[in-house]
Amino acid sequence: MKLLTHNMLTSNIIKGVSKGFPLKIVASKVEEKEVDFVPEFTARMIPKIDWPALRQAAADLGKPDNLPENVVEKYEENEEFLKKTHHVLMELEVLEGELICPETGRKFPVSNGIPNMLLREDEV
Amino acid sequence: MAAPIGESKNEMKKFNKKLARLRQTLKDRENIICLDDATNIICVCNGGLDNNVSYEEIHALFTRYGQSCSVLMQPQKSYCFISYNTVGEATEAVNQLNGHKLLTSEQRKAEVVLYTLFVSKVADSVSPSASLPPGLILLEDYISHEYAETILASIDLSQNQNTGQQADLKHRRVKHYGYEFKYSINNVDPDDPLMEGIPEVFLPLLEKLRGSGVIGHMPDQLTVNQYQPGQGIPPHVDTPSAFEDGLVSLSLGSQVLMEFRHPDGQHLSVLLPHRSVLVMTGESRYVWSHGITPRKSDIVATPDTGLTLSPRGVRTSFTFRKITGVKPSQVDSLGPETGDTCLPEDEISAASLERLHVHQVYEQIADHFSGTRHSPWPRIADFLRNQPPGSLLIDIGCGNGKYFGINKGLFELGSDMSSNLAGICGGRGHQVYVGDVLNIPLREGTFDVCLCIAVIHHMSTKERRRKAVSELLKVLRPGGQALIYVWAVEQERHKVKSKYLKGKGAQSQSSSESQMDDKKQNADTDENAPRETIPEKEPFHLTNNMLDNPSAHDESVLGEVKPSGGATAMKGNPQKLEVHINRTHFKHQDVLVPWQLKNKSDSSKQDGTSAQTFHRFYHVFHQGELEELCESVGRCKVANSYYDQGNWAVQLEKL
Repeated sequence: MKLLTHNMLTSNIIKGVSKGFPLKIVASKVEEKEVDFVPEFTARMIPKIDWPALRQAAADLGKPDNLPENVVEKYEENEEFLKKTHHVLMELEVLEGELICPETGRKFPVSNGIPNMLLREDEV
Repeated sequence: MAAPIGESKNEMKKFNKKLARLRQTLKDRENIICLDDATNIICVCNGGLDNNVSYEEIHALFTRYGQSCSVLMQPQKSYCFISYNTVGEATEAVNQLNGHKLLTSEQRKAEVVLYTLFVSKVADSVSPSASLPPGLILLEDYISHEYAETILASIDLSQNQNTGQQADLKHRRVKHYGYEFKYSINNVDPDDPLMEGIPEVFLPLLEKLRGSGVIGHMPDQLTVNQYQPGQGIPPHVDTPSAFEDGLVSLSLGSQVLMEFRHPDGQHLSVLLPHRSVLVMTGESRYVWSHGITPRKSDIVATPDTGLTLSPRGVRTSFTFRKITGVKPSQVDSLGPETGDTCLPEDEISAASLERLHVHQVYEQIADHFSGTRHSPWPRIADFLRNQPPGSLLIDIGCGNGKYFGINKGLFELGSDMSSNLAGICGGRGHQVYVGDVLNIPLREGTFDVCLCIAVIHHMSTKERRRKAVSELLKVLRPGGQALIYVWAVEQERHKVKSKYLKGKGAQSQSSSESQMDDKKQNADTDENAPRETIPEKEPFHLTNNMLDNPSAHDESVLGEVKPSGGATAMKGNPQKLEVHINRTHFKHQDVLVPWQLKNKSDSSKQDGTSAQTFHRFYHVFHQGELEELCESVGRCKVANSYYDQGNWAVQLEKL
């Protein structure tokens, strides 16, 4: 699970949970994988992601990684910023661990890099 | 007939050969007879909607040769009809336009060459049929002109009318009396009658119908539909549990052709003139679907047995029904053709049916299944290629991820209910999570593109199918696009059988279950694919298709088939979910489809007994049903819908 994927996931499918975002990550195995850096692609992702959630996720992995508190102005032209963002979004992979609902504490297992977001019938 | 000027002799020959071939095809497939002598009606091959040619283009082209030119387009046909007032005009048009090339356009990626042929008889589907479906009663001139005027004057469908229950549907304007027909659940609620019952102006009509014995009950529900020229209604069967037998429909205003279709493929067109009453009883009410093709004109018979094109005007229909009083909660909300006691009646049994007959099966056959799914379908791949770079894609029901990597500019995320399939997808380096289409764990309004291929037909109630569509829309941003595929009841169109029906059958080891359908659709033969089986002790019918096309089945399969009674199984008799026979026409909309898992350690090809058969639940969709489902959800616009190899597809835009 890349952090870009994590940035999309929510637990608001659980009955009674309103936002369910961002899911806290407790990782037991994280891998760094090199992914080709395409600045235009990263720039296009930025408006779609939740920036505070991304920073939080990086912190959960113990890699606060100098991401600024806010998206910088004219980020399209800021290669250094884009590269850092690319690294956090695309190159960190959570292989084993748990995603935790911020409201209920419900844990979703991540195994082999795949989060299992299925609910039991009584949770829906 | 003139070929384009400047062609060499050789090309001329080729052109004429092509014309002769088209002529034969029209005769064989569409029952359209082309004539050597000129007539005033022309069939324009390649000038149809199926070739992405528009009414406007054809009209602009052909009016040059006669202002009386009328163009008749048909859905899903590659040809259209043109009629002129005079044979002279038609002849001139043929002389000038036979072989005319239409260039590419935004809608059309390839050039098309028009071929024109004179015809005397047009396709059955656009001209009135000689016979009626069994149980259908058509009473012409049933009410007087004066009474018709009185009725029309008494019904006000204008926006500001606040009696009755009124709505503008996409295709027509609707108003209900007595009880509201709720399109979201395809039912009425007997506990929730409307303030206004059937207006008194209709009493003389209803009493006449009852007095003459045409209907045995007094209707208590009225739906008024008003159609502008070009509007129609998708094919449907009125909810069997909601209304008694004997549906009455009074037509006022413009004539219209109503299309009746039997699940076995029979198709009859019935012309409903002004002041006529149509009564649907028995088979015509429960088995045949009826609908109106959205067109601006109809082909109608002239007194001298010829045919002419009659433009449509505004038509108002009044449908009188008697509700059964059965509450929607007491019946399954499935398609009208079921009534099957084994179909789920509530959420819990629906969920457990799907757990057993969808999720567990995919979990168990995942490896094998994935091995049969590798070639992206061309139109789905095109859809993906058309998405701008930087788009976020979610593929719900991604299986092994065969639609990933087609457009390198996308960020692709997949979801599958089967952790084994998700595992295969993830193992290929794709981003994926395990999840349920009915509860999509993604931020709302985030994704640009959503793919949902061969998933929604696994939902066992209409409510769950609606929920699935609604969930897809939830995660899309406004303006985002969804492409949905479901398996079709209709496995044969334009007399062409789908690949699923045809199979490949080259070896005794026949090809994959779904060339066609399926979770991951697959148009390739695959040597490792399971062999089709007909489970023992299951009921089956010998279909025409199997007789026509024995090569699709190997000997052992054919040997096991036992002919049984008729094929009227779609009628309302309660029955268990039947096991579908692979590579045959569907007899039911809700079926169990076998998948045979061949044991890999078993190298003996002949021995079928060691193979294990699993049954997956499917709700196969009728023409128009998918669009109707999406429209009932709202928040979206159907941008495109089409038939693709035994599947119905719809492209939605989130509003």
